[in-house]
Amino acid sequence: MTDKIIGIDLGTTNSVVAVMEGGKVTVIPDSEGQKLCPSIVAMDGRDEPLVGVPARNQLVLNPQNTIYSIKRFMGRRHSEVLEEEKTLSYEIIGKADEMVRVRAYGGLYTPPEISAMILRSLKNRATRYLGSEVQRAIVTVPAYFNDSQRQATKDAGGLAGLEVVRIINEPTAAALAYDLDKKSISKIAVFDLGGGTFDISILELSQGIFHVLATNGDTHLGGDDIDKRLVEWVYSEFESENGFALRRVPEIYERVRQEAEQMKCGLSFSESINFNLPLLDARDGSVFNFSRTLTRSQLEALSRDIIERTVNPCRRAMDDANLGPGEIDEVILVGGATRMPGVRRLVQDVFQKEPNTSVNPDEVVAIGAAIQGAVLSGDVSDILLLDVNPLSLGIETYGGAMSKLIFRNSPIPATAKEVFTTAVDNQTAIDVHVLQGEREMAADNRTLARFALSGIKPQPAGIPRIEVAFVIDVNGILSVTAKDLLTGKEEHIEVKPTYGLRDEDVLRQVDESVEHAFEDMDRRMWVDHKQEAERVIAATEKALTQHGGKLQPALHQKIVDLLERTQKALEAGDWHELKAALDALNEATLPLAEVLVAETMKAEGRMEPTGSNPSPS
Amino acid sequence: MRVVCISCDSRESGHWCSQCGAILPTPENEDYFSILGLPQKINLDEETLKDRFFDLNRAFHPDRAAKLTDERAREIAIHKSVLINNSYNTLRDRTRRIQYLIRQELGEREEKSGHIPVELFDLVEEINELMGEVRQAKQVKRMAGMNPAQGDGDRLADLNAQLQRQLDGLTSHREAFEQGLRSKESEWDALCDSTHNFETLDVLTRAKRRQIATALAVKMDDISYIDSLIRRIKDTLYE
Repeated sequence: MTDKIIGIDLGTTNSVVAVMEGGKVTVIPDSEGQKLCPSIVAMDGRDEPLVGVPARNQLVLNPQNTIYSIKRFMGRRHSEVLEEEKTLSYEIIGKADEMVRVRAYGGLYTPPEISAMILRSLKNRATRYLGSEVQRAIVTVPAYFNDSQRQATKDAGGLAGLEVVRIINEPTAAALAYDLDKKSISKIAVFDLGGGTFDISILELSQGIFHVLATNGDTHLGGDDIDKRLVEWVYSEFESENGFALRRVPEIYERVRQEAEQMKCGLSFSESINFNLPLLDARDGSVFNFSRTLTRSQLEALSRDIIERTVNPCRRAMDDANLGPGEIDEVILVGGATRMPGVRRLVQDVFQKEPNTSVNPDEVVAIGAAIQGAVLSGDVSDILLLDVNPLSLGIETYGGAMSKLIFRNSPIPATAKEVFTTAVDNQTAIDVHVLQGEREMAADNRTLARFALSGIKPQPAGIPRIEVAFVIDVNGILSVTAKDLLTGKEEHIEVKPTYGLRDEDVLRQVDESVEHAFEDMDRRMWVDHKQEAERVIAATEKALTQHGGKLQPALHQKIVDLLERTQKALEAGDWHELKAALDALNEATLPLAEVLVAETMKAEGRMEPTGSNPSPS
Repeated sequence: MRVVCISCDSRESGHWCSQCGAILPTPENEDYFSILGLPQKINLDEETLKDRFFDLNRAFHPDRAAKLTDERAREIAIHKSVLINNSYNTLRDRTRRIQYLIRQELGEREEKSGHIPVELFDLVEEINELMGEVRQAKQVKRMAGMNPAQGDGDRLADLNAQLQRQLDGLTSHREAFEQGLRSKESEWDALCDSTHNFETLDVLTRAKRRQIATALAVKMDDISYIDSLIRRIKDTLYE
């Protein structure tokens, strides 16, 4: 057993583990020499899940049971991840206000369980490297992660058999990794655009103290969003060339997504790049290529609005730190997406300073976590991190407003107390609604917990005195106590996310919860299907006019009937019927699509038989 | 505030025992200024405040406390680090700092930001009426399908100009309030400078402190009132 504390960057796309030995940090590679571990887990019925590169390699063949981007679901309720869910190739379940679970290969997994599989693999990697068992780790989280997301990350560590001695913020860790002049006083901005989250932190460095002044961000923004945008581009290019849509099945979607990601990365180094998607012609089994060229400026135009969402958090963080762009001495870039020239230009515009990129943006967070590990194990003593809590914490007061007890950007650990009273005569219980966020009204902020303090002595309104105390620890994790100052009666609450129910309850309620989840999402489903239907109807009508004559009359009639049915469902406003009609229409138009493919390729003389590696289509 | 040293039982104040060097527990209700070792003044040197915050964290932050072998000492250090953070967080902001001093001196009180400052009594009624008229005139233009932001020399433009004049007047009122606050702050700070023994304040000093704190509270409420009035006027003008 080693007393080393390893540093783990548990990322949306990749995870990295590092350790400090003899004053030097090593990023630990796997047995193949790879330093980045793709944050991907796959179930294939064997006892052990596949983690990392092997999981990624079989993603296209087994998309329903391959879990990627699990970080986006850590500590999240179903209602918070509707946008993420839309393009997912695996299934997540849970009622709208419940923590999500993943269904894969017949089993149900919480996001911390999936993350634990990644952490365990990194733990094993470090144990092999150090030659003795690793037990303690620092795990990093986005600075803008809320209480539930932090708690979930800590739980994941526990499940992986690791004692998470500290949760630290990714941008703060990155600042540690830069070998900055620790003697002088300087102001640093850390711009961290990862796969799924964006953070901006502003720190002051003074005599070895890394003092966080302000932090801001967006936990629904990352490089993944740019990939998705490129996927949509590929789909629309395909459709406008062929007159029918590329199927949105996981097998195809995932391949396009992987290609899109590679295009994005490639365009950081070259001005234009070719895209190749080999597809199988369903009619005769031959393979044809759908290819396109994408230029860097096209990519920048496509992703501009996504990248620009980072600007406001940067401005707010500078405001909170009371600094102007001219007062920032150093800008550090973290996260793979900051390799994009467009992102670098934007950072330079916002901070009026050329960003420092001397440490590999994929490894910098794990390196910083390893340094903090060495601080905690006592191997390093000239560094101290003073971090803040990213979002204000408070409780709901009479009238539905949020009363803030701990403001955002307060140094942690911290405590706060406030005395509340009853609103009506003889009230014997009060509801304590714990909130996190910046908005005025409770309903606009995130609910962390609700609990009741009962047994208050019946008295006229305004007489009882109930003290609510918040304690936020050095990991940024909150616990709350409510105490009746007259009777001394106390209620303590760990503000822990509940991942749903016990297993036996889960099995019973799975189907029911799926139903409920859909009920809650009715409106959204309607909007999505409506757009889809309008698109499909237009495309089918166009194809029918051009090539309808080549179809058997019965089939032609069937498509016309289904078009009518879809149109009617669209008018009726029920998405269930609309989906059924759409599915039937898509099914029926398959032969039409094949005719279309053949026609298009004949016309362009592009059909080339290839014998190798036919891909599913 | 003096506490009993955990190691040698002498009665001491500060963070370390001057007799045996042991870490001293900090009482829960210890004054934020004493925790950071600063005079109880409103015009604090912010660099000194930050230096104290850094120095104390070097000693008591949980990362450093982790190295303490004695469990009781470690607990005390971690508790201290919380109090240090709370103190710094309150004192680093001027408004929070003044409000903290007022609360320390006068106890919890209801904010009276809804009370109209005497100096503004007649003015406020006039302004409220004017704001009502501006809103009404805008409504009329909207209902007539016109853009309220356009039109020179009409009734709305005239009302807007009147309201703008009132706003300018209020801005100079605010400056006067601010000056009044500054002079009370100086009075407070001067009293602190001439106080030698904070642990046992004499009757006269105590009375003076209460008096100045009450005046500070009135000034803070006045400023808070005028700020919210200015905000409402701006909303009415630029909505």
